[in-house]
Amino acid sequence: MKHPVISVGVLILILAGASAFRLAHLDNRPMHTDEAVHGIKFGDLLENGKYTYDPHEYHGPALNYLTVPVARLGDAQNLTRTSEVHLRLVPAIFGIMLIAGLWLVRDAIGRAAMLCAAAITAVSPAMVFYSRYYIQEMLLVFFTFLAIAALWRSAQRESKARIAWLVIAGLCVGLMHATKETCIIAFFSMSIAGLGAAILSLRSGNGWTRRKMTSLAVSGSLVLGVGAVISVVLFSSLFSNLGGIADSITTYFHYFDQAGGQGSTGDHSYPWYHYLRIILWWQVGDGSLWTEAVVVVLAIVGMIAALCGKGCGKASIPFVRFLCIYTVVMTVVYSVISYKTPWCLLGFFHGMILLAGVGAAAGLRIAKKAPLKALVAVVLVGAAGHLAWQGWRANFPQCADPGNPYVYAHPTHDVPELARLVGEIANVHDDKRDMYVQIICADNHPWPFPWYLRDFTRVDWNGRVSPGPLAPVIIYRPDLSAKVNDTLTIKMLQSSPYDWLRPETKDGEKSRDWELRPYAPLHVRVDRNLLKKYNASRPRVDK
Amino acid sequence: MKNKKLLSMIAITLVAGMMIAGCGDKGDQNPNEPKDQDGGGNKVQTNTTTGGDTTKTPTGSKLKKVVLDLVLPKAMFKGTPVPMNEPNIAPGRAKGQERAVIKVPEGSVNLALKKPVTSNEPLPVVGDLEMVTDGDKSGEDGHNVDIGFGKKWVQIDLGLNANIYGVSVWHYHGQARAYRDVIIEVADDEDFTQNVQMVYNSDHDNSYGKGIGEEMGYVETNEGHYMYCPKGTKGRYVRLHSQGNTSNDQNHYIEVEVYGIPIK
Repeated sequence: MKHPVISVGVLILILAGASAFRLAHLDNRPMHTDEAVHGIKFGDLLENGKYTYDPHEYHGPALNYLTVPVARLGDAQNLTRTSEVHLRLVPAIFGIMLIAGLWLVRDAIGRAAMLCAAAITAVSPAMVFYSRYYIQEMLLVFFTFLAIAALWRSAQRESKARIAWLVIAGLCVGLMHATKETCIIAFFSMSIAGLGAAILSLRSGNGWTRRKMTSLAVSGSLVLGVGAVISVVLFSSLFSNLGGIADSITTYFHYFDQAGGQGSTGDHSYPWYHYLRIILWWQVGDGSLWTEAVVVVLAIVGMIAALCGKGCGKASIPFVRFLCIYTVVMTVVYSVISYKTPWCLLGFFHGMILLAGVGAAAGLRIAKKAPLKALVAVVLVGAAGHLAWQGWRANFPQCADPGNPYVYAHPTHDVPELARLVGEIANVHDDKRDMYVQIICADNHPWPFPWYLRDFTRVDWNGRVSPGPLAPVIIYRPDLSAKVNDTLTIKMLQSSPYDWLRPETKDGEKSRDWELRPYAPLHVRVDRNLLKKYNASRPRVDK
Repeated sequence: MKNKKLLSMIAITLVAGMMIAGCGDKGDQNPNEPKDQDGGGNKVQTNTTTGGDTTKTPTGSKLKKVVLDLVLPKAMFKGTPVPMNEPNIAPGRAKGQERAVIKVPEGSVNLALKKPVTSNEPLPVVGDLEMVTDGDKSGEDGHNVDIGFGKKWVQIDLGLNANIYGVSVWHYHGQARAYRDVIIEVADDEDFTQNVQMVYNSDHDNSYGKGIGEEMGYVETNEGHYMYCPKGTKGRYVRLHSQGNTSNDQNHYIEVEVYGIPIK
C-alpha cells in the first residue's frame, strides 16, 4: 500500500463493510439490563435535563450526554419515541470512528498494518457485538485510542497543529474519565508503556530523545488540564451538581472493593484466564465454537517483530513497542481483577488487534517470494473471513444465544415479545397505555421491562403484592417467597378470574413458561374478560 | 310525594354505595396480608376499583367507571445481573434445528412401560411412583411425581434381563430447567450389588458422590432427553438419580422409557 490513494480507498471499503455490520438491524437483540437502565436514565436527561452521577453504579456521564444529539437528530424528543436504534447508534458510531481513527497512526504502525488492523476491527465478533450494545465500553476504547493517536500526532516533528492535537488528547482523557471508572487501568497501562518505550528508545539511541520526552512531560500538563475541565463539566452535570466532581474521585474506593468480584446484584468473579478463554476457545457443551485466537497469534507475531525491530517496515518501532507494553499490562491487570464481565476485555483486545495488524503486515513483508507472500495473504484473508462469519453469527442469528461468549446474563427474545403482547392487550383495554400492570419479582429486579413498558403510565414494579385491586395484567417470577405467593394467589381467587398467558407455540409444541433470562422463568396472568376481548380482536388465521 | 320518592331513591343509592364500598374494602384487605404491603417504598393509593367493566349496584343502576388513581414508583435501577451460574449445561438446539435422530437396534421396545417403580422416597410429595412408567408424558400439573429434595432416585424393575440401548427421561418440562447430577445405573439385582453399570453421569463435580461424570447436563423440554447406553449394557434394574434442579431443590419425573431387547 505504497500509494496513499489506494490506502484511503481500501480503508473506505473497510469502513463501508464495518458500518453495514454495525448498523444493520440494531434492534434485533433484546435489550440487556444494563442497556435498559442506561436507556431509562438517558430518558430523564432527554426529557427533564436531569443527570446525577452515581458513584456506586452505572458509570460516567459521557454516554448519556453523547446520546442526546443522536436522539435529537433522530427526532426522539422523549423517551417513548426513543428506540433501541437511537441508543445503539451511539456505540455503533464510535465503533466505526475507531476504525476511521486508525488513519491517524498510519505512519506509526505502517499503512499495511493500519489496514489489517482496520479489517480485523471491522469484523471481529467482540468489536462488532459491543459496537451494537448501549454501554460505555466502545466509547472508552475509542477515547483511549484517540488519546494515544493524538499524542502520537502531537509528537511528530512535522506536526503543524501540535497544540491542537494536545487539546484533542486532553479532550479524550477527560472523556475517558467521564465514560467509565476503568479508565484508570488504561491510564496506568499507557504510563507504564510510555515509560517502557522511552527507556527502550533511549537505550538504542533511536527514535525518541530525552528532549522529546521532556517536551512530552511539559505537554502532559496541557493534556491533563483540558481533561480535567471536560471531566468537571460532565461530572458536575454541566455545573448543576458540583458534588459529582468529588464523587468522580471517591467512586474509586467503591470500585476497588468491587474488583474483588462482588457486584451490586451478585458475584461476577471468574478465574484469571476467563478473558483469554473467551478470546481463544469458547464452546458451551457441543454448541458452536467461537475463537478469535488468530488475533492473539498475529499480535504475538507483531510483538516479536517490534522487539526484534524486523518486519515492521516504516513503522515507528518505539510506538509499536509502546503498544506491546500497553497491551500486555492491560491484559494482565484485567485478568488479575476478579470482577469480570465480557465487555471489559475490549480495552486490551483492541491493543491486540493493533498489534495483530503489525503482525499481519510483518508476515507479508517477511515472505519475500511471491508464492509464499500469496500463501500468507490467502491465510490472512481466510482468517478475516472466519472472523467475519463468527461476527455475523454473534450479532444476528445467535445475538442472544447463551452459547455466544459475548452474551452475558442476557434477556431472551421472550421479553420483547411479551412486551409487544402486553401492548396489544392494552390496546383493547379501555385505559390503553394507562392500563394498570403489575410486575412482581422477588429481587425487585424486573429489568429490562421498564424499558419495554416505558410508554405505560401505571406499572407497579414491586417485590411484593401492592395493596388494592390486582392489575388486569400481572407478570411475576415464580420464585416469589411463599408469603408473597400466597398473597397473590388469594387475591387472584378473590378477583375476577385470571387466565394464563403463555408464549405462542407451534403445532405439536408443548406450552412453556416465558423466560426473562435463561433459567429465569416468568408467569403472566391476564384478566379473563380482557384476554377474551384481546383474542376476539385478533385477526383469524385460517388453518 | 315526588320528594319522598326522590329521598328514598337517594337513600337506597347511598346504602347500596356503602355496601359496595364495604365489600371492596374486605376484598382488598387480605387477612393474611400485612397492612404495610409496600415496605419497599412503593406507595399505591386506591380511591376506587375498576376491573375494566361497568359495575352494577344491587338496584341495577350503573356505576360510572373511574380511573384507578395509583401513585406508582419508578422501577429501581439495578446493576448488571449475574447469569445463572449453572456449569456443565449443554446449549439447546438452535432455532429451526431438527432433533437428532435416535437410532436403536431393530426389535427394541420400551421395556419400562407399566413396570413397577421403587424409590428411596417411598412417599412422594406429589403424585405416585407409577407415573414414572405410565406412558403419560404430559407436562401439565398432575402428571408428574415429586420425590422430594436432595439425593433421590427412582428404580425400575424391567422384569427380566435385557440388552439395554438407551434411556429416555422426562423429568419436568413445564418450564425451562435443568436437573442436577443426573446419573443412570443398570444392575442385575434390586440392591445394585451385582453387575452395576453406570450408563450416564452428568455430575461434573462429584457432588452426588458417585464420581465425576463426563456427560453434560441439559435443559428439559417436551422432547425429553435420550441417553445412549454404552455397548453391551445388560441388566434388569434401572436406577435414575438426581439432586434437585435449577428452579428448586425438588426431584421430579414425568416419564422414563428404557429401550432394549429382552435376553431369552
